[in-house]
Amino acid sequence: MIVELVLNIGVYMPEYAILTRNLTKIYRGGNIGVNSLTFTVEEGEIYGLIGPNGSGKTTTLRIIATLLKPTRGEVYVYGIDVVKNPLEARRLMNYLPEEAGAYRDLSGLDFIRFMLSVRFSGRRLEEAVSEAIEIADLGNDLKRPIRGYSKGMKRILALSTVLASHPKLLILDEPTSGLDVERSIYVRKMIKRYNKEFGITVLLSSHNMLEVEYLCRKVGILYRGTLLREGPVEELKARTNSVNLEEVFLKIKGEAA
Amino acid sequence: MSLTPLIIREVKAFVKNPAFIMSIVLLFVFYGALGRLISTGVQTVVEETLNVQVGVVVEDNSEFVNKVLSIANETSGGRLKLVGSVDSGLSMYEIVVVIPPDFTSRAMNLNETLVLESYTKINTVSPVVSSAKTGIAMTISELIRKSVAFTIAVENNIDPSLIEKPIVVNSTVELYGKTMRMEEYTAFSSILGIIPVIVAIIIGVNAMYASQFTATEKVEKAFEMLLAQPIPRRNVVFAKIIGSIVASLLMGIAYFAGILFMLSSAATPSAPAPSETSINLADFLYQTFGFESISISIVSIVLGLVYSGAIGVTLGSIVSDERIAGALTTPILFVFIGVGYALLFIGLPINVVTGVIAGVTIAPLPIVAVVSTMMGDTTTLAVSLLVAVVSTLSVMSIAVYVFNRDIVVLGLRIGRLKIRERT
Repeated sequence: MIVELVLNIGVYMPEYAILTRNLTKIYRGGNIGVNSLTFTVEEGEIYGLIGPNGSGKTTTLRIIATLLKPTRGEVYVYGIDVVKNPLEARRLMNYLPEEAGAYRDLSGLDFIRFMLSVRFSGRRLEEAVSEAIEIADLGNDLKRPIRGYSKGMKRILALSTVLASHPKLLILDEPTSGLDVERSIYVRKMIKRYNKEFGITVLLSSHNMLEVEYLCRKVGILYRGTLLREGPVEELKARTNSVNLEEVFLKIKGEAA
Repeated sequence: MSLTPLIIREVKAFVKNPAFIMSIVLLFVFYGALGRLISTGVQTVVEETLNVQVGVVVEDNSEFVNKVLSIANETSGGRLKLVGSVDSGLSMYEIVVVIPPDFTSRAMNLNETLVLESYTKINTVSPVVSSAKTGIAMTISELIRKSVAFTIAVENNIDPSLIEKPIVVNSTVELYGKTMRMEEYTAFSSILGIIPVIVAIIIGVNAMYASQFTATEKVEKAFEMLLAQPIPRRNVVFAKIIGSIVASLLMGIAYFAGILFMLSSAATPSAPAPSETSINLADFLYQTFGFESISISIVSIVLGLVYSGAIGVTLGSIVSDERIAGALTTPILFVFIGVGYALLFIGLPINVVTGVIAGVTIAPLPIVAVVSTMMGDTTTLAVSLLVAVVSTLSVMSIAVYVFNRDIVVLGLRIGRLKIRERT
């Protein structure tokens, strides 16, 4: 109701960590990435975007993270227009792409220091580095070149840098993709912890409905570039008379098809 | 047996790579066009040179010399023209031969060697034209030698083929108003000939480094994370260009150090002492080129490194891996070499137009700098440098522009061929 009011009168409410309005991305050749996407993420919330491959999750996250420019529509991060002021927007957020890796020739420690040195300096940098080392929990492996790391180690390393940067908004594209069960659980715990302890707003995408149900209060269901439905997980389950998010997704997708 | 499918897969990976195909097409078209251009240019200048007339300064007014010159002139088709002095001769003709005062006495004494002096005016960087001109001077000198033998034979009623009269020609070249000995000119033109290759190799290697580094970052999947950081994209571009320049300079220093080490290792204590006619290359280059030219050449190389670094970063940012980056940047090396050599072989005059071409393509810029400095043509020099700076800034701006567009994440797509798969 508030969102509709805000959108109708055209005034942005700064309490929203993210506000997208009629967000549309059409790729060269006419492929539609996302179509008229309108949604909001409140400050301190963990919001999940779910949908099958090609539904527009990554496109949405990339646009918000200032990596892609929308064809139409607006995106605000804490009141900042990400298209007009991308640099300012990037100061407030950090982004972990799907399959994010790290520089092969650097050691894990050097990678952490490099990624954090673009945001911090001096004592604050040292604190952030220490924090990332703690999150990564890779022990002496941090001194070894990254080329010898497993996929899971690289993923944890990349995640440690984005968490330790304490952004106001954290965008995670498939944060546990390709990780084993133990590491997946660890990553989910870290996301929850940072959201709770530091009030970091999280926007994530995932194929793993159980993961989304565990982490997110609110979800948006994307299908072929369109937001079919959004709302609190429990509310969606009740409305569709489903026992879990997987069932919610299948029922809503079935209705759309 | 198991090797065949492996080889087929490797070959197919390249042959089906659109960047590789583009590179081949680009090289084919570029060098084909360049070949036609060079061929036309060379043909024109050689035809002009072959019809050139030769001034002759006679410092020995003997009857014998008159007879010799008469025979030589008739044999050459009337190309020999008597002139009063070398300076007046060079103002009218491009080649002047001097018959020295002791010519007759040397000709008459069987134990003496004939000595001639030749002066060749060269106002081009084309090695084809300069070779043709110096060749004509040598041909005329040989003709005079044969005419001497013929005259002596007729006067003594003997067979001319029995007379062995060796000749020494002291050749001097006037290059853009600067006088130098033939051996100095040979050294100069050799260096001038390799300059575009050296610059092109430096530029090409730098472009490859820049594209490979950028493409590697994408393969390592760290690129998107970097682009999402609160740093201006232009800083990312500049850092990559500077990184590739440092790598290229380190490689260049290692290369030249290796060459010097090889040369010093190859030198033996019993090596013969330098002859009187040998030249100290470093001193000669400094005296001939001058501090200004050498400084501008270094500036050109620096500009070329920034220019090629920006091209490499741009290409590396729009492809998906090192293989495609390599396939796209390799032709750049050949294109730069081609452009550098084109300016040399076509024999274009060094003026504002060629200055602009050199400024845009960078590789021939040191040649323009050297020649225009020798000519005292500051306008051409200033224009070529200005255009080079503008070209470099333009290429850098394109790189920054690309880094601020979707293409840096999505990759380049040509028609239906995708250079990078969309996520």
